[in-house]
Amino acid sequence: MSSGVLSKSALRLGGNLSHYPDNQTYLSNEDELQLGEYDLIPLTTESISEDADYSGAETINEGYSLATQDKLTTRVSGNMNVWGWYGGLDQLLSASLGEYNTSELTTGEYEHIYTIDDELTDRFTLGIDKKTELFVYRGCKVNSLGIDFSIENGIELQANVQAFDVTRDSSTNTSSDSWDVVSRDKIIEHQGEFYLDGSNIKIVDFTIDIGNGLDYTTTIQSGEGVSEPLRNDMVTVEGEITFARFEDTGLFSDFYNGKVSDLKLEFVGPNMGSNDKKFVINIPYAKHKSPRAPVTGESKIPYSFSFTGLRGTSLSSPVKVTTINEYPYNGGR
Amino acid sequence: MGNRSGAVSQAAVGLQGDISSNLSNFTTEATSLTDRILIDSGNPNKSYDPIQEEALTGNVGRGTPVNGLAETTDSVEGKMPYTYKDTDFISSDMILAAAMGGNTSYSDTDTPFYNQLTISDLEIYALTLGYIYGTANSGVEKYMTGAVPESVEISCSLDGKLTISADFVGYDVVTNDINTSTANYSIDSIPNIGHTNALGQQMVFQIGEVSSGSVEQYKVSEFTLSYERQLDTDTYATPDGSNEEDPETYHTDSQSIVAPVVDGRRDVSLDFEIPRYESTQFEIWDENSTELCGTIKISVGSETYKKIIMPNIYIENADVPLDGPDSITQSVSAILGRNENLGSSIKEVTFTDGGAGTAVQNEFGVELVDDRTSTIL
Repeated sequence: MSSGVLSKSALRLGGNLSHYPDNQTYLSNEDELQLGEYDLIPLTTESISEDADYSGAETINEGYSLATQDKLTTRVSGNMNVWGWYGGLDQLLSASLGEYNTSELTTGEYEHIYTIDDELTDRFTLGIDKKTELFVYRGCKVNSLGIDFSIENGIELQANVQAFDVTRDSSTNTSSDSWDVVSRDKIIEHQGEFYLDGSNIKIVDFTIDIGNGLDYTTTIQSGEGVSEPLRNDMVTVEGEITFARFEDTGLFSDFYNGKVSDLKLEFVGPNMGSNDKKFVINIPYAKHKSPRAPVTGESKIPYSFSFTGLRGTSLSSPVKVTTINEYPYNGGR
Repeated sequence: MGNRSGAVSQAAVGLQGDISSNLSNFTTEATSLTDRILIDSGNPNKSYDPIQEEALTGNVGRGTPVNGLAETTDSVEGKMPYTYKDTDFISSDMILAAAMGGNTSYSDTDTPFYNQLTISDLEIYALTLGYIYGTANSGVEKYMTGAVPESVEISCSLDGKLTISADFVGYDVVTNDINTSTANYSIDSIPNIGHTNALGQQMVFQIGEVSSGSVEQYKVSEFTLSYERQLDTDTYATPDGSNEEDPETYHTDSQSIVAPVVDGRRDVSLDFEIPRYESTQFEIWDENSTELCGTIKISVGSETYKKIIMPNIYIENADVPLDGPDSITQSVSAILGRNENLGSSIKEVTFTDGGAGTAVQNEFGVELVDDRTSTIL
């Protein structure tokens, strides 16, 4: 028996993995990385499960019940929720957006910029220590990433993960003792500021969902397992913002005018010596949609709008996430 | 450390301004505290909701929390004397005036100064509530900025003084140890004696049917007027410091609440006790949903009084419990509504205005005649 409070999780992205696994029955160490000191993620919940398609008897053969059932495609997928830390999100962001670029600002202090890549090639190994057993998921990709902010509850990320398989007796990852992270500083809700076209506006909620539209199917070569998930649709970036007060009708005008805005939610954390830790979400071409100020009764009128992140005419990324922290690697490590 | 008992403590209030027209009035402390309030109790308090560890890292023990959102509140109870003026005042009227939001006046050369308080639908005033815990030269100064009254109760019984209690939300609480720092406010220099108390024995209660055109005196032993403003006092948001003078946007501290706004229909009620059950009048009015109006006036002579004017009273319950061998009393609960019969106002149920009789438009108005010769707000 074990408890969630004793659990921990780590994620390591590997751009140098040889090839996507193609043999599920032989749990070799291919596509599995050793998780360690930079790889702890601030997991809060997960619901990744193994599931399979089965084929029963489809012919008439002297019986009311199934005699046998053949296991077809196996899928390992589900959601994991991750709390907002200034350190500990970088590899997940790399895996979710695809393009990453790291520069050292001063010694030991790094800026990481994550943008949408046309390809989503890098895979990661995910470990979850459930104390009863260590679960290691290999060949993982992020099908979608949601980032939710509220002034009451802070930042939380939700990733929909698609893995090739999971093992509970890995010979590569046998203990979670070394799993750690460069910084456990929490992204505090009141450290956030929101900017709409450069102007400070007070908000209470901000959500964004990045959809990678991965194809998660089996092929002749992959046997019972899935073939490597690849982009099968356009990347979608959708979000919604709720303001503290209905104070003007600017969003309605922006909607009628088909305006595109630059949205930025920026958190500034503790100073590392020369630079402040930062976590910044930027949607440079956000198309205004659905401004709403419904009269819901006697109470104050809520004010919100949704948006779609566009690539823009300059072929930029529809969303850009920037972190500044002590994590020294570019993308994975 | 000096004497820090409540007996030697004191409190005063100062006006910050209307936050509906300028949100910096919510965040900027009053330049001075002008009115000593005769408090029975107060509790300016700022507490932070701790942000606890959420991530699972294999530890059962809790990590170190950090301060999250702040809740700033105060609850004040005190007496409501007739306002006494030296240079500053002994008066609790500013709390009531701020809660009501509307303040006009009437005067001419031959009459006293009439301060008239009305309920405003839009204006929301913030105060600075200042305290000295302990003695003035060795105690602790605490003051709450952006103190907005959420609810107010005025009550009086025949054997006591007119009292006020109010619950506040605020922007911040500042604490200074007077031994080691300079107090911001000179509360101790505000006069503390010379006032006249407003007493229950000076009270006259009148009520009558709006359609009859008159009100009559009824003997009551106590009353409580309750005023719940229904403000939004728990919205937090990221900063919006784009324009300090923009009344609709200014907000610089994410840990403090966004300045309060109206968040629903206000509730105003009146409860009173009738010491002798002598008439079925209140049950009849209750049964018939009769539209009533009335006043409660507490006075010393003709030029010192506090008068509560209620143009629309609806009896919600006229309870006559038979609960023992004692004399039977009656408890009456009433809802106060906005004035829907401005054209049929009864002269007693209006502001004086030198005989002009200006109608009170909302649930209640208060006319104050005392030492004060200017508006409060």
